[in-house]
Amino acid sequence: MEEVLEYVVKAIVENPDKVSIERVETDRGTILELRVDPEDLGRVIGRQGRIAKAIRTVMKAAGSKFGERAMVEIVE
Amino acid sequence: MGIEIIKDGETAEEAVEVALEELGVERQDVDVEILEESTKGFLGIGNKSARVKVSVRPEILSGAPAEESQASAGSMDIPSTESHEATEGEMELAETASKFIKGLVTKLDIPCEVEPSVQDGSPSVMLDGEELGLLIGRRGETLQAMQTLLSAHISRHAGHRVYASLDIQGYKERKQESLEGLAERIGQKVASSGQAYTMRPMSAADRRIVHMWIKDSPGVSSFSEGQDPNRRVVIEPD
Repeated sequence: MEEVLEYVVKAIVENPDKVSIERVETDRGTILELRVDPEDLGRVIGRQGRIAKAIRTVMKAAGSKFGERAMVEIVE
Repeated sequence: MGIEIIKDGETAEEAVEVALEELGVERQDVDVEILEESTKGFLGIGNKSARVKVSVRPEILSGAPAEESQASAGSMDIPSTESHEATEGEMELAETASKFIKGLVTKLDIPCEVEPSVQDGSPSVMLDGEELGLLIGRRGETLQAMQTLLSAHISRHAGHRVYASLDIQGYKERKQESLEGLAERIGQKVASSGQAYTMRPMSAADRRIVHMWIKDSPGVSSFSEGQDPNRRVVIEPD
């Protein structure tokens, strides 16, 4: 799961070295906390959240492939 | 009947982009008229947004180019650069696009054939293989999402806005046919009953397919209402 997220995010940011993903287990389920360079925040969110929504949709597909559910949270 | 919309944005360019997205067409398919230029006020006071009118060119509405790209998309076995000779730069972007998608399906552990091509100057990737249903998603949402991310990737790579297209063997073509069938049935119902009909919310690209079909249907016309993601096509009697 993390690998898919990392792959997608690194492909759309200017500073791939600053991309980090942390898996957090909560009682609401698994959360993948995504951190990027502040300069890249706009790139992973996109206008009206389009990119963030696309990332979550692809991660949903990844989740059904790998049989797990994980929510993506973009941490500022 | 022409298709045109008026959009506001912080800048004229931004308003045009929003309009293109809504119409589901590319920049070269439209004429843009700037109705109002944006102005920057002082310290945010007196800012004025830009307003543009975007009209789809008549030759695009006649359907000729759309048919052309559909035909070439359907018969693609080899990386194709047909129609307008693709430049090296365009091919390079298509290769980059293909590489991104190949990497993504590999990470998803879904083996696929990935074919790059250049369609009307834009990078295009065709996917074929197994487990395609998963990559298409409900009502095509996963395919659409991958296309959005692909465009973001290519735009960053190119340093300017690029719309890349991603298709799964035959999917968009089949979907277009089914949407046209739906538009035809509803169009006939509206024409005979005289009652307007509001369709379910659809993406900009899907709405465009319906508008194009209704444009050529006698006795009915169509428009869109509401805000994405709940924007719907309304078909009404003339």
